[in-house]
Amino acid sequence: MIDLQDISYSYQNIPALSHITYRFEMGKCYCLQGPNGCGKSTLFRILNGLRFPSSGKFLFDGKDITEKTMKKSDFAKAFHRQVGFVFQHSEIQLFCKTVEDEIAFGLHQLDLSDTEVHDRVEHYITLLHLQDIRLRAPFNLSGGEQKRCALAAVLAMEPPVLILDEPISGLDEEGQEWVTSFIKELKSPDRMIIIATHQSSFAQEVADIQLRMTKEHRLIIK
Amino acid sequence: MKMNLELMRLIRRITITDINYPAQDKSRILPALRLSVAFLTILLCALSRNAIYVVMIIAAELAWLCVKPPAVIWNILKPVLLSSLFCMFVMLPAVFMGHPRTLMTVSLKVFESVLILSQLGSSISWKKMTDAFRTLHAPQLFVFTLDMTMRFLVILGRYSNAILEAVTLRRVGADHWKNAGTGGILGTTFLRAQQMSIETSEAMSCRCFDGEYRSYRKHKIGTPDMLYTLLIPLLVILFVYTQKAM
Repeated sequence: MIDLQDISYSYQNIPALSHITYRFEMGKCYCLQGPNGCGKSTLFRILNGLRFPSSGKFLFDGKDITEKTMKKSDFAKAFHRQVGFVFQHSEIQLFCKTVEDEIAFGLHQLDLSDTEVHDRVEHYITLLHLQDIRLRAPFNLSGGEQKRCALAAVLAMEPPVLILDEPISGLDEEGQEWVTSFIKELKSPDRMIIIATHQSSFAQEVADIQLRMTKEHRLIIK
Repeated sequence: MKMNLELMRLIRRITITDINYPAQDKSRILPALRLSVAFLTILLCALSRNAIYVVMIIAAELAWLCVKPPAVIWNILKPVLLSSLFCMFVMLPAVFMGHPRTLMTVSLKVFESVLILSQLGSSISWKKMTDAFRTLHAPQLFVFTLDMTMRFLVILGRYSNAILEAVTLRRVGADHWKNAGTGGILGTTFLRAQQMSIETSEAMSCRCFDGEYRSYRKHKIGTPDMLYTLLIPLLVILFVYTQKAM
């Protein structure tokens, strides 16, 4: 479904990704590990259509994702509808006034009916145990609560591809265990999960396929 | 340093009002309606050619205020008294030029307007306030910017406080470094703000943002709203009556 064909990316002549070729399949959970600065976050930004490869091709469902195609708002909307991204720092990702507004935000953008929005918001509030904090401002929540809120906001849009950038970083032991078991529950044949992490034990527990980014910014199968 | 502390106090207030959100927003009246009535009252007071209407409104406001706890009364009255005193000071030359009534009228109008806004601000959380603007069909960009400002104020305030603490810990004895340290905090906070705004914008595009910004919770109009709406004709009638009385 996601096809990376010899992609490279550099920030003002500083390479971040170097000749990456890989095909991500549906129904699998991928864990990406690698040292700091190896290009994991850049790769995730490319997979989310936020950056575009300097060279090579990024195909999503056979469609070429380029700066030009992503400028078409219908195409961009259709693409983002299929790819959900949970940022490493949830605080940045959460911008609405309340937790329930945060979950409803993406759903309103999808032009869903009010009933559908209501049903999904209530479902994900219950699923991620956000009942007690539903009226709180997301930026005032603890790290674990923010992570759950960010997950709920993205999951509510029901994207077939879920990309999580270091989902357990900054969480306490209980929070880490909860996220781990939740990701295991999320795994299904019609969903692809791609996770960046520094923790090998977490990667071993959740991943079907473990990948590694090298210091040379290349992607290898572990 | 002092300014930073003031900012921290403001941020703390926003944070506390958020945590106490359900307890604070006890009013069952639609915030947009309260905002409209407040604006109408201020407008009518500004238009009023005599002090009777203004004094009557102030009397009603103060009667409402006197049933509140002392701390709330003080919080509401503090900005009111300050602004009124400032206004009196500015208008003082009018007395020497033989227009003492102008000083009284303008100061009373300032007192009344700030009192209404202060009272409104103390009883509606910032979240409901921005919702009220949205209900009143304020441009979405305006409401969105207001919400974002609140959010960044809290996050960056927290961030700058952390840097301030780090600087304080490192600044042992050498006082000449003070100004450079403050400049560093501002610079770092600015860079962080820029980075955060880019990331927020990316997060929004990832969730298909196309300019539409709506609220999930919708207020159902009930009897208290209907009764509160009656204030609008009452205020207008009172205004017309008091203007004729002159």
